Amino acid sequence: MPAVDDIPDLSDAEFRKRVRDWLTAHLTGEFAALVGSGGPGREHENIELRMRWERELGAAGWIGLGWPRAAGGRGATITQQVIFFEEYARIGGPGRLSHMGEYLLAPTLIAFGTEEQRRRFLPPIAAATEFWCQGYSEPNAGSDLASVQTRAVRDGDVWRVTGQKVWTSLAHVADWCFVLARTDADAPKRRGLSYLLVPMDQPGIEVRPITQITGTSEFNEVFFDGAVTAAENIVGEPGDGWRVATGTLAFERGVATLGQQLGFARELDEVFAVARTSGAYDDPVWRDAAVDAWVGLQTLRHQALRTLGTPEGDLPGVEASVSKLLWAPWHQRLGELAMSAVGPTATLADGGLSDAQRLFLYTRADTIYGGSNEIQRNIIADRLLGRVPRS
Amino acid sequence: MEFGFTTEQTDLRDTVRTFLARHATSARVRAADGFDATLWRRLAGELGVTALAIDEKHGGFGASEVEVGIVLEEAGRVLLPAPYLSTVVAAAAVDPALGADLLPGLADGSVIAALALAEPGAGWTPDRWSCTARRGGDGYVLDGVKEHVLDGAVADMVVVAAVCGGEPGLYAVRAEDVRRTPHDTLDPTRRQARLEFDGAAASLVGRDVRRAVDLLWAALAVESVGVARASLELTVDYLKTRQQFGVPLAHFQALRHRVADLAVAVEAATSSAWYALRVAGTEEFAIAAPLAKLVATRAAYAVTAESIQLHGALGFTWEHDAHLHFKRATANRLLLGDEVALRRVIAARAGL
Ligand SMILES: Cc1cc2nc3c(=O)[nH]c(=O)nc-3n(C[C@H](O)[C@H](O)[C@H](O)COP(=O)(O)OP(=O)(O)OC[C@H]3O[C@@H](n4cnc5c(N)ncnc54)[C@H](O)[C@@H]3O)c2cc1C
Repeated sequence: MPAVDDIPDLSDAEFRKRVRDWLTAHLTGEFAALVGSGGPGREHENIELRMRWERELGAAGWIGLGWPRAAGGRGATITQQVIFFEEYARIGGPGRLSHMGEYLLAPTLIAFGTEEQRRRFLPPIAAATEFWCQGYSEPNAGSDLASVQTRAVRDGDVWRVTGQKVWTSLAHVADWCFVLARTDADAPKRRGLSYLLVPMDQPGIEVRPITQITGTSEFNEVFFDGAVTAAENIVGEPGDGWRVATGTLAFERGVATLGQQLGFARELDEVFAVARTSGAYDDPVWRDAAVDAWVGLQTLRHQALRTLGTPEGDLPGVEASVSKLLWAPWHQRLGELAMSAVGPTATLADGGLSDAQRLFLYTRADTIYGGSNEIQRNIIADRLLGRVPRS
Repeated sequence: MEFGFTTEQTDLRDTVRTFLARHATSARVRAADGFDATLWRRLAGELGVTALAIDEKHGGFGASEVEVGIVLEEAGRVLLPAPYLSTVVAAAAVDPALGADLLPGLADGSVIAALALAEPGAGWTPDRWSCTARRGGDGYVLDGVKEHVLDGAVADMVVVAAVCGGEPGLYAVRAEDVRRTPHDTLDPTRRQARLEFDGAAASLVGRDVRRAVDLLWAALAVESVGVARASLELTVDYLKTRQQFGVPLAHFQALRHRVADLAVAVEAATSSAWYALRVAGTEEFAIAAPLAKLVATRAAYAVTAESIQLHGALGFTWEHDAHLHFKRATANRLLLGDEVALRRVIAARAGL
């Protein structure tokens, strides 16, 4: 029974209480084990239980909070969405599994999809009965995403997909994948792509886990060998894939970032706690660096609040790049600070990786995924200095 | 949280920017030796920007820190050689319940004011300042020495942090009652002075010394944002026009990425400075103000230093404005608490 039908009528304080009460009441019983799990370096943990938790969230209406009501969402304001993230992080809610559907695919369908597609795909995302993965990167198409080679050919009333994706997060959990595939080999690079929705559970798809820097696995190789999807499962027209795939990127204005920062704050608190035990805290040089990290975190918050609070930003369209270039290196430095707080024992891994080590190792990815920092710099430079003509 | 600007605020920014672009040109700024009296009179008289945050019943417009911040940011862009920052911060430090009679003169700009906080050898922490006030004459009498008083040599009135019987307070002293020694300064666009008080007649105008320091920090932060933005724009324009190896410098990725990093630093600085101004009336200001000073002056320093590098030898000349930005950024960064001192304040106030 959705607890959130009346969201638009709630004051922020009422909304916060609603979220907090619900989380407190539901992150109990079997779900109590999930508190703090699934975060950076822990994405592999408790997958089954976390899927059930997602369905618990979904049943109460917490997924799709920010989607418009017309699309089956709750029409929550930006502030309310931020409050949800804050409360979720405050209570130590587990790492999410439905985010690729909720935050990447859904906005894409809302902007570019058909009414039928929205009706077919949004409700199971909101209910967490279908999970999604993002099939963009390939062995030969990373930052240069427009170079994807995976091919899709129209065959009667289906598309047949052949090729390989890589680094596909949660492909082993996902029921569906949104795939960027080449449907016209003769068209210029960006114009030959299409955006397809492909079911994962079929003979033409093989998922092979890739072991990550932490020794665990969250991303995968995905092999498509004549995998099929119905002809209508294309978002936009054939050839629109680039526009559709990149069209929603610029919409991200930092709602998730604000929530994420509460997770960061918990991590930083933890680093301070470790440092007090290890003695690092008593070293004024160490403490100065830690205070600077604290300052950095406040700055991330100020940046996110300003981005959300100004209708026309100073650098419209590149706010997401600015935000990423601020938080990703910050998070990386936090990982380093965590290690230095622990001291020499941070080099030992008896009995598995510690939290500090997971954070330290995992944060190397922050500057790579979702458009590497170099690519984010390119985006900002293009805006400020103009694009460089290609010879 | 509201971060946007109203139409009136945007209009104010446009008006000030247009005015300063016309009147605070590089040539004027260089010729002013830190104080262009004509410019000051017109800013106060025609634009009325000194009156913005002062209450209507004291001759002001009753606007807020936000409006003042807009002007300060614009002033930073042109390295305004006029005592705007010093006067508005001193005015903001005055508690109307104590020093209402001073406000009309500050509002109409007929009185230039400066805020005297730091003392020689005592660093930036109020607990080490030893300037004293005692009862005498019609009010108080002040003894001690203040250093690094921005625009202190051109001020008509000084608001001085001093201790009276163990109680910190802010005291107004007329310029003629102060021995003033103007300094030559690294930053030629804003002068500093040493002020000596030897039984100077004073009146109590405020009790919140900490807030006065916070206001000055926030003002230096938002001004530094202006400095950084102007410097970055200059750099961007230069990279687009200067050709080497047959192409504009702007084509080289090594430089593009540096510009992107600078832009990110400027965005972050803008956010922190404006956050501080938006919370100026709340408890959060005690942390937001030193934090803004730290973040914004660090960014302005980085941007202006890189600006010299990206201009090549041209940036190293007296002729080019790059060094003026760099020097203002340096002064703002080091004055009234450098980064380490600010982190100490922040750590103490945040209980880290
Ligand atoms: C943890 C994790 C999860 C991921 N999950 C997914 C997922 O779910 N789905 C998905 O599709 N992808 C996913 N990715 C892949 C990610 O999107 C790519 O790694 C990223 O786009 C970079 O591509 P690449 O790894 O091929 O590196 P490359 O593009 O080969 O880049 C190598 C290095 O060169 C730099 N570089 C590349 N081009 C330029 C340029 N033009 N200018 C300057 N420098 C440049 C890069 O910044 C990088 O430092 C994930 C990656 C990670 C690490």
